[in-house]
Amino acid sequence: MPAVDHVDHRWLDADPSAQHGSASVGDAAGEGTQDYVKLVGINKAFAHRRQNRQILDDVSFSVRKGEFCAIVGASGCGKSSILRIVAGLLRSDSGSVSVAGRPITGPSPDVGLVFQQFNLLPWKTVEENIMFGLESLKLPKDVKRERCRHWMTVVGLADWSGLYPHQLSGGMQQRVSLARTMAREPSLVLLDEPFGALDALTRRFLQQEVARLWQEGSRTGILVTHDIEEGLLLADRIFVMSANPGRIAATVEVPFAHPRDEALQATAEFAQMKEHIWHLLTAELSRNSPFVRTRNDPNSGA
Amino acid sequence: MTRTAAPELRQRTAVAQAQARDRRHRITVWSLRAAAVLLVLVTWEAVAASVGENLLPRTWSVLSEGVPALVSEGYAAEFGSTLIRMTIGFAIACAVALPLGALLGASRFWADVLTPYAYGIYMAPRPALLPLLILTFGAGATFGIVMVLLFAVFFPLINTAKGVSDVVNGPLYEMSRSLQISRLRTLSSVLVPGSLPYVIAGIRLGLGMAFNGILLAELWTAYSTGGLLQAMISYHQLPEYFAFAGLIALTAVGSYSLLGVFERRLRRRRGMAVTGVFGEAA
Repeated sequence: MPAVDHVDHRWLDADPSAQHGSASVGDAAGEGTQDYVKLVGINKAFAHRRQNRQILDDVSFSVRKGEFCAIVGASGCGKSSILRIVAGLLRSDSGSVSVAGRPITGPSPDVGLVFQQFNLLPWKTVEENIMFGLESLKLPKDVKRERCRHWMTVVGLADWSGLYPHQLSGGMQQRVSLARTMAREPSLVLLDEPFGALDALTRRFLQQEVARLWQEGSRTGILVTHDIEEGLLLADRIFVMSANPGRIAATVEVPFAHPRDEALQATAEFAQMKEHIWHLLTAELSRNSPFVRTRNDPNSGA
Repeated sequence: MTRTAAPELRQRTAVAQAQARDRRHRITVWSLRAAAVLLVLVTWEAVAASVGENLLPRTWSVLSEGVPALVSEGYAAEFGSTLIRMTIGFAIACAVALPLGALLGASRFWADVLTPYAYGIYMAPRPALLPLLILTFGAGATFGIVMVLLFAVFFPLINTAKGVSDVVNGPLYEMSRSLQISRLRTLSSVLVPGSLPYVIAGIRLGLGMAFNGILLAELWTAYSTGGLLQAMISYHQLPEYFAFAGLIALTAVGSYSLLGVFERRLRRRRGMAVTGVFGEAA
């Protein structure tokens, strides 16, 4: 019996469509609180020569306006593919994606993406990298410069504007990447494991920065991570993904109020939530892999 | 005062020590390189003394008789005309290789179709084509240019394909797409700067092959520089021969090093791993 059967299910909504499927895509043109981002029946497979692999299977979920959601799953479960589909960088084989009621057919100025590996242009300075992000926006040059300066100040890099990426630490590079995306003022920000390449201390610091940014502005966000604590510290809701093929296995409401700090991490409730999501993940993993067994699985011998 | 000065002093000392270590390393490397040249010269002298100047001239003979003849007999001017033909052939090779390499790197379809042919050019025994090429182009300047093209086209082609493919399938291109940057701007701001170090490295390798191609062509047909080298051997003008061969080698190494300096600058600006002019650790 998988351990998931022994945990408290009060936060669990195993059928995501049951909770969010009722609101329509056209609901107030998506500008209302329901279904600001809506994915319905997303399927995606990759084929190369004789190797065919289905990455996503009937993925459906929605995110409310101003909500910050996290997608948590094991490596290779397709969570980054979901972000790329929402960002318009990858086409799904079937299903539909809409942001603010408008179907996503390609990259859009309304959607910003923060990458795990920063993706800064090494031959451009901090300022030039942020300005590069603003190039496609039809704004006067002085407005772009002002936005660039503002976001360099917000992320604490105003004094480093003339440096090149290789002269910066990993944390500083990710702050440039964050500023480049945020300066575009997208209504939806997608974060693809943005702290994955950072050390624990810098990661914690930047998590707080992101939490602060979200409290200050009413942005909608989707964070992809394999770190359950990160999801619990930042997100209002967590989608737990299964792998092979990737599916939304469960949706978990996070009941903690913002701001969430180290004191919250030390509480029993936080630990219980973490344990709950961990059990959901391991239950999914054990279902898909003969090598993974959960603690309470009688076949595991544990 | 001392409290603030002490850490600064420690920092300065640490930096000075690191700089001194780096200086010592460079001095050792260059000293060993100079020692290697000296060793070759000493060995040369020893062999020349034992076998006699009929087989190997003394270094002094090369310097005193061979080097002045480079100018007075017009050998250097002849080599200049060879270099012009090589440059034309190499320019054509680059004009073919860079766009074709960009196409292979940017399109998986064209890479699947054309890559076997690109490697075919490299793997084919080109010297076996010499008689056919002489029949087709004659034994003059055109033949040399075609040989340079055949010899030099591969490395710029494959390196450009690799550089462009790395960018197009890499995170920077995806970032540019996500920011809705126009194709032209992506080309100028992402694709060209991102692939340039690979392209320059390909051009460097291609240049070495271009020297090989032109010399092989001219030696095979006894044309221009190749003809002079053959005549020097036939008439036993060994000091002139070694001086001329030295000039060719120095020109090849010099041009290769110049491109190396350019490549190093590009890599340093991009925060990429920088190697020495000859590809050594730096």
